[in-house]
Amino acid sequence: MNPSEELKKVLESQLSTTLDQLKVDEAGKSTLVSAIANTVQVAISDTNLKIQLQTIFEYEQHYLELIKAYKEEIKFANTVQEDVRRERSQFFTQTLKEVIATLNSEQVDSTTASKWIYELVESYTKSLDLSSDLAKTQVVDLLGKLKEKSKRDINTVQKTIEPSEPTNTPNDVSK
Amino acid sequence: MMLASEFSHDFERKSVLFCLETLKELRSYLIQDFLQKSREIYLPSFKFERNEYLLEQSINKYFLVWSSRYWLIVESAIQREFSNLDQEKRQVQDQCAHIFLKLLENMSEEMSNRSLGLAHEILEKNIQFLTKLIATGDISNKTYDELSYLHHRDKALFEREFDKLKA
Repeated sequence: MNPSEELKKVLESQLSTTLDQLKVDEAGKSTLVSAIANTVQVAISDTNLKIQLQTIFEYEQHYLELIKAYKEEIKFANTVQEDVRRERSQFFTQTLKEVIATLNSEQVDSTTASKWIYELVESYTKSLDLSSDLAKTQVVDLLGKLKEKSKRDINTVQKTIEPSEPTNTPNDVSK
Repeated sequence: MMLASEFSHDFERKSVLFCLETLKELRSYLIQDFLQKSREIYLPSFKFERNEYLLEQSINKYFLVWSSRYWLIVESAIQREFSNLDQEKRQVQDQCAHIFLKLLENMSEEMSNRSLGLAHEILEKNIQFLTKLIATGDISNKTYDELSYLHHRDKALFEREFDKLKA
């Protein structure tokens, strides 16, 4: 049972007792108890919803600010990775074909040409892998920074929200 | 006023970009040499067409000399972009030295699988030399010149080996 339902039950029982003492008839009592309890429950639920929305809003706001603060780094990490991917794809789809065509047009023996091509592909891709690792390191570092910062922000939001939560629980009311 | 963290983010980006650019420039030489019919590639291709061993040594020589060109690229780019910034210069040099080492290690790994005499021997020497330099934690201007010198030494060692084999 959630807190607002619990509170509704307590309220219904107390109202019922009071209305009995006032000798209100059963039909009138039932209408009154149900109307008052429902109104209070809606008010309590609204408060909880507001607190939850406020938490989400504060978190989203912090998150957007975080992205804004790291905008340049996110853009940079994305650009460097994209550049390496583009170069790799261009090498295999275009550049390599041009190299093979040049070796053929010069009439380099096919076995000799294959040896050169093999070494070219090995060296070129290993160098590209080095670039890709560098770009990846940049992304991993950035993700680490964002994670750390957002963890700190969540804690800050929780601390900001906690004091505004109601201190009286339904159990307190019943006491 | 620029905050310290903003400054370091800027430098980090500049440094990574610098290393990526130098690697890209090195790759572009490779393609240029093939497309512009460099004598280092095409001459031995015909000259040693019937001598597999000398052809393979020529290929190894080309790629080894190509990789050692990396430090020449770094040297001139650093002079251009970091000439008055000693601390930044040292950090970038250090990062590039690590990349250079990785480049040589990759080549050495590939060559050790095929047990290629001289090229592998030269590579191993270069790797040892570079590892020692990095371990000192300070790539000073003097050691920096020594790295550039590798490029010329490797070329000469190969020429000597070729003369010996041809004789």
